[in-house]
This record gives sequence, C-alpha cells and structure tokens, in this order.
Amino acid sequence: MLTDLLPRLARHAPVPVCLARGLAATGVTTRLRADPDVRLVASPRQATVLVIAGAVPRAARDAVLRVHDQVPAPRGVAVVGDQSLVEWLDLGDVPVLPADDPVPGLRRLHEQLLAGAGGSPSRGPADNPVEWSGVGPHGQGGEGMMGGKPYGRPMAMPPQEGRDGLALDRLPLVFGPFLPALPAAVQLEVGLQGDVLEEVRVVPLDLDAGVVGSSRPLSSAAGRYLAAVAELCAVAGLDALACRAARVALDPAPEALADLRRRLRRRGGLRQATDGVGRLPDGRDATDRWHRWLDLAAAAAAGEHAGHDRVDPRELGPALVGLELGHALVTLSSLRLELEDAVAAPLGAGA
Amino acid sequence: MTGVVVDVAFWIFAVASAWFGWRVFRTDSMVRATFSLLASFAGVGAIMVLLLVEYVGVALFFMMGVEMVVMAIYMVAFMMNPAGINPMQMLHQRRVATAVGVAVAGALAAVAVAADLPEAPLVAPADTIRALGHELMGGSMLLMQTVGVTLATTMVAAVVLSSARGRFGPADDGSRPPPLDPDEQVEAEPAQAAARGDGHGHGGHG
Amino acid sequence: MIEVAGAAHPLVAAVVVSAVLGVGAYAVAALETGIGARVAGHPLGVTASLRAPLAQAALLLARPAVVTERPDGPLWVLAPALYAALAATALSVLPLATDFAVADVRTGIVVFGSAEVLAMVAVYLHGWAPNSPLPLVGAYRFIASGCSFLLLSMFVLIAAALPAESMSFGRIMASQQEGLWNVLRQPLGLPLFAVVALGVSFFGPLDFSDGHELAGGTAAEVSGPPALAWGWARRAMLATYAIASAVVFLAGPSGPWLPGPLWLALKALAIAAALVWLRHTVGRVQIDRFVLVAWTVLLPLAFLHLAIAGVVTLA
Repeated sequence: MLTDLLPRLARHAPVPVCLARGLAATGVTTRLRADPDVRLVASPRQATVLVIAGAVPRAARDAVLRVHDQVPAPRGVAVVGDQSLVEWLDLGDVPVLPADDPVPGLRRLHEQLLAGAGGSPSRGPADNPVEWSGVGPHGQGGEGMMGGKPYGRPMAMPPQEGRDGLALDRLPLVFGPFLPALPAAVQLEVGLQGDVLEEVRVVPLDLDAGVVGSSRPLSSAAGRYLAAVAELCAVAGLDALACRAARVALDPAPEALADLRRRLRRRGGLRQATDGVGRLPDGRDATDRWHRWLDLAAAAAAGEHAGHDRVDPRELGPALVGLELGHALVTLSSLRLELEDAVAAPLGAGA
Repeated sequence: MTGVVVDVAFWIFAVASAWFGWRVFRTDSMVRATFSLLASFAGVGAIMVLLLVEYVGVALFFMMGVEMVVMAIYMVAFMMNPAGINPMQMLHQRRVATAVGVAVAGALAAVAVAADLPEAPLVAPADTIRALGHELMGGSMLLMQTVGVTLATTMVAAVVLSSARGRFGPADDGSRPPPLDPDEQVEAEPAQAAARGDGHGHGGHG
Repeated sequence: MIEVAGAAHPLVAAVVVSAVLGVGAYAVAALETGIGARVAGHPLGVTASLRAPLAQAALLLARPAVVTERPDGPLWVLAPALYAALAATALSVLPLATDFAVADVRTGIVVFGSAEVLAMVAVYLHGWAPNSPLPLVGAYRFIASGCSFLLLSMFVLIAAALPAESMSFGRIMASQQEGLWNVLRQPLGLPLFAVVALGVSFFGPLDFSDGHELAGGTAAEVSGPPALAWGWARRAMLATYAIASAVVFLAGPSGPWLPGPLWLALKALAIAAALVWLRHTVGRVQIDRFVLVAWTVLLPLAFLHLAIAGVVTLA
C-alpha cells in the first residue's frame, strides 16, 4: 500500500533539475525557470536530472563530469541543443531535448528514474586521488598543524607572518563554473577566512579550445534582460518572483512588463537583497544594475536598443576583496549579462 | 517524578557528562572537542534541574550554548579546517595538565567525601526564582542594573565602532597594515611567511 | 520536583508534541506552496497546495541519501534530530489550550531561550559535518546572525514577562486575558519577535545558512531522507515560533465561542501566513547588513521596548 502510494505521490512533485549552463543558455534556463512543473535546484545533490545546455567551453569537461557525479544516483542526464554535446561528453545514451520545449522530455526521464530505471553511472575520477594520510608530525597530511593537500585540496595556511603570530588561516577554494549564482563560464577563485574573502580572482574559463553545443539565447533583447533579473531573484531567494519574471521574459508584453517592474521595484522586495551590494568604482550598486536591466528591457520592448556595458571579470577581483562570500556571489549575479558578454567576446557574435 | 526516576536520571546524566568530558581530549578536531564539552555541561545543567536549582540549570544551557558556539567558530576561523579533514593533535603540555587534573579531581573528591554535608531532604521552596533573585541581587540591585546597562552599551558601541561602514565613510579607508620591523618602509610588501612550524597551533582551550 | 504548574503524562506529551509539530510544519509547507504560486502568478487550488508538500516529501523519500568525503557521520545525522528536538522542547512550554501545556514550567522563557541558543549549535553542526566549504560558510553565517538576533528574543520575552510577573508562558497568556493583548500593550514586540522567528528557522529574508547563492548552504550536500528531515525540522521550528508569537502577543488559546486550541491554531496560522508571505516577497538581506541593522537599530529598539514595558507595568 505505502510502497505503491509513495511513487504515485512523488510523481506530483515538480522535477528537480540541476542546470549546468554554458554560454548563451538563457532560452533553456528561462523556460525551465518559468515552468511550475520544474524546480531549478541550487545544488546538484537536490536534483534527479542534470541538464547541460548552451555553448559549454571544452575546458569545462571535468567540471561537467564532477557535477554529473554529484547528482545522487540513479541520476538522469539530458542535453539541450544538438548531438555534439552528447558525443563530446561521452556519457552514453543521453537524450537531446528541444530548446523550445524541454520539459516533457525531462519529466519522462524523471519518471523513468522514479520507476526504477538505472540512470547514468558515475564518470568522475576516483574519490581519493591523492595519498595524504600519515604525512606530517600528527598524521594530518600537512606541514606542522595545518596546510597540506588532503584529497588534492589545499588546506588552510596563514597568509603571512603577522606581527603577533595571530594571522588567520586562509582557505584556498575554487567555486564554479556551474554554481547557480555565477555567470556562465566563470570561476571564482578565493582565499576564504571564515565567510570573508581575503583574496579573489574572477577567472573566465579558457575558450581557446572552443565551445561545444549550440547557443540558444532568447530571441528578444527584452527577454534577455528579464531573464537576468529572474536569475537574480532566484539567487536572492525569491523563487516565486523569479518564476513570474521568467514568464514575462518569454513573452515581454508591455502590460506584463510594466506589472513586473512595479512588483520588483517595491521597497521591501528584491531591493532588500541588493541595496548597497557590490558597489563598484562607478558608484553603482546591484540595485542600480537590475534597475538598469529593467529599463533596458522596457526600451528594447519599445524598439530601442541602448545596450549594456561589458565588465571584464579579471578586473573585478579587487572590488570583491573583504566581502562576505554570499555578498560577492550576489554581486556577480547582478553583473551576469555584463560578465557573460565580456567572456563570450572572443567567440564573436555567433555565441 | 518519584525518587527512583530522579536517581536513575541523575546517574545517566552524570555518566554522560563524564564521558563527554573524556571525549573532549580524545577527538582530533576543535569542533568535536568544543561540542563534547557543551554536551558535558548540558548534563551538568540537567543534574542541576534535578537538584531543584531550576533556573541556574536551564540558564547553564544557553550560557554554555553561546559560549561554546563562539569558541568553536573562533577556533575554526583561526584554522579553516572544515569538518576536521586535517586531524589535529589536541593535547599539549600533557604532564602539567595531567598533574593538575589529578590534583584537582582528588581535592574535589576529598571535599565530597570528607565534608559534613546536610542530610535533611530538600523540600521544593515556594518560589526559588524569587529567592535566587534576592540572593544574587539583594542590596545591590542598583549596582547590578548599572553594570548590566553599561555592559550592554559597551557591546553595542564595540559593534558600531568595528563596523566597516563608519560615519564618515568606510572605516578602513586609506589604512595599511603596520610593518613588522619598525625601521621598514611602510610601503614595502610584507614577505610571505615560510611554512609554519609545530609551535603554532590552537589556543589554550581544551 | 521541578516546579511545574501542569505537566502532562510523558506519553500524552510525546503524542501532542509530535502531532503539533507534524501538522504545523505541514501547514507551513502548504502555505509556502499556495502563497508562492500566487506570487509567481499561477495560483493553485487548495487541494493542489495541500498535496504539494506530500508529493515533495514522497519524492525525497524515494531519493537516496548521499555521503561526502570524510563527513562527521553521527553529527550529520544528529543535527536535524537535535534541531527538531529543540523545536519540541520550545513547544512543550507553550500553553496549547487555556488549561493545558505539555509542561508549563515556571522558567518557561528561559527554557524557550535555551532551545533557541542550542538551535544555533544544531545548524552549525549541520553545516560543519558534511565536510564541505559551502555548508560551512552557511554555518558561519548562521552563527553571525544568531549572535545578533538572540538578544532581541530575550528582551522581547522578558518584556512580555513583566506584566505577567512570571516567566511562565501560561501566566503570560493569562495576563492578557485580564488586560490588553501584548500586541497592543507592547507594539514593538511582535515585529521584533518575527525577526527572531525568521532568523532561528533561517527562513526567507533571513535565510543566511541555507541560501540559494551558496547552493543551498548547510543543505548543499544533503539529499533524500536527510533533506526531508532537515526541511521538516526547520518548518516545525517556524510553526513553533508562530505558536509562541500567538501565545505571547495574541493571548494564545484564549478567545470567545471557539475552543482554545482552535483559537491558537487560527492565530498561529495568521502569523505563519504573514511570515511565509515575507519569504516570497522580501529578498534575502546580506548578512553584513543584517548584523549592522540588528545591533545598531533593532537592539536599541528592543531596549526601548523593554523600558516602555517596564514603565507601563509599574504605572
């Protein structure tokens, strides 16, 4: 009875999808975001299906496989776009979903998994690639009390000799390129002290080897700005508003756009998450930036094309030093379009 | 609750407290040690409640809770060591510590055995909390209130002063760390330190 | 004996507490679905809103739990259990009917406050145990927020205890049956306590530990049944705080015509709905900004609130 009831109930839940997005994947992202039958989750652990979309840099293959393995087995995998991603990733029999209607295929995959299908097997390197135990005076794998590289991960070390020996350790970490808050094809390399960034580099992925997969941006310029607003809403915890914004992004009718602008600009809403956040040398904070996106969307819907600036990720690091990690991630999310365009610039207009 | 239940509860909490106290010195991570200590204190708090020192027992939970949490994050802040992937040697000055520990435990046990403790069973007084308030505050209510307000004001002021956003802009605007060597030029980049030796480690908590 | 005005039989206590936490957490989850769908612009019917949490729970039960590299296994399992147990402890000192509480102890607000503090430990362990950086950062942020909102809670509860001349929640409720409700007598109390409620259950604008930008924070590495346990526990905590707010500020189960528990449920539901609405409409505040506002604005307000409550009580 119960064994029968649980799967029946589970089928009514939205499909939890982890999205590994390459460049110019706004079309797919926004369609999945707008559909109440899909839930774009924050972490691969919470997903049943991994969707790989957009133009994925060849340099990101290991990262894709890592995210793939982080989705708990049995896991489903699908790509959006064309067969080239399937061949490049070599993950076996992976379905290719149509970019303009990916949801039915996802649901089919999800329900097969719930019905007991085996799913995609793990592909990554072994879990423990680096011998470390037993090294050092206490077997801790490092030098003295700290440091070392257990599991291939560098551990915390004090950055420099302090005046009083009280320098705090700095933990070196790399986030991305598929962390939902980050723009596509960007990695965040940080030295973390608690939750504060002591050292930051925003590194674009190497595009010299090219990209795989076809890019499917939204057809309308207004939609692209609204999609970025929707992603920012999701990062700020406003998933319901993100869904609404994504739906307007798919169909930016003037009334719907005006209604969305009114809702978002309320004092208590998204502004609570972005006011005073990530103020760059030009004096603008995250709120100013998404207000500008909304203005550009309205202008584009009215037929004007003002365009936005590009921001080189490599120049962004110093502005993020001293911020809390989440604060920095919201900042990067509020620069999504500006950063992605700068990163994709070497690929030319085609990306 | 009957006397037997209280007795059984006492022994459970007593043994658990002692066991967690022992675990403090057997783990290889600061966080595990800290929260073992908290569990040990929580057992003592529960025993206090059993002994009818209700307010002090319950207050021990939150006082030790805050203290241990702050201690844990300071220790992990010092050494970013997520979940103890780098096992740490938690013991230092073992000989002195052992000697002091044995001496103090012996002295306390001697007091417990030798002291002339009252034997009359304790009856729950009508109003322990009021009695405790009078006992603690008594004639110094004004003093205690003044101290309380002063401490609270100091805490808020310290947070305001340490805030990065000062009244006249960012508090650290234009500041630079002082040099290690007084003769050194302030502009010079401090040299990167070599790997730390064994002597640098966790603080004196344990 | 512990000085208890009325203590339920342990078996009754276990049944009542689990039932209230179970139904309360379910109600919060259903409100989240319903209000979220309304904000998103595709309103769901009542049946669909009620079914959604069950479907989500069934899906999580059907999914496997994952294990990270070298986690602290026991603590990882214990963290949601500890957090739920603390919600149960906090609930047990609240009057659920005009003449019933699981344990209406005289030190009620101190027990409640202790549960709140130890919840900080539970969330920290949940972030620390999986041995992964993003959960650890989430745990860090929770402590930073916790150290900022815990004092608010104590001041608000002490202010509510003043007119009752007792630290028992039963007496605090009774003092409002005789006089004005605390929501009118102490107008700053409810908004300040709502901040605490959102903070302790890391919900909506104060979701510092499990935020989306940290890929789910302390929950970034959990899946399957442990994810269900964690999600249920934090909603049970929010439900407990909604009930506590109803008791402390809206006289809890007392009211005309209807039976007491029904009054309490209605008042708690109204508060929970308001908190869930905030979760869907107010973006998550940055932790540095919250800490600054908590210490420089909210805490002085709480002092003021306590001073006013004292003067009004003496007058």
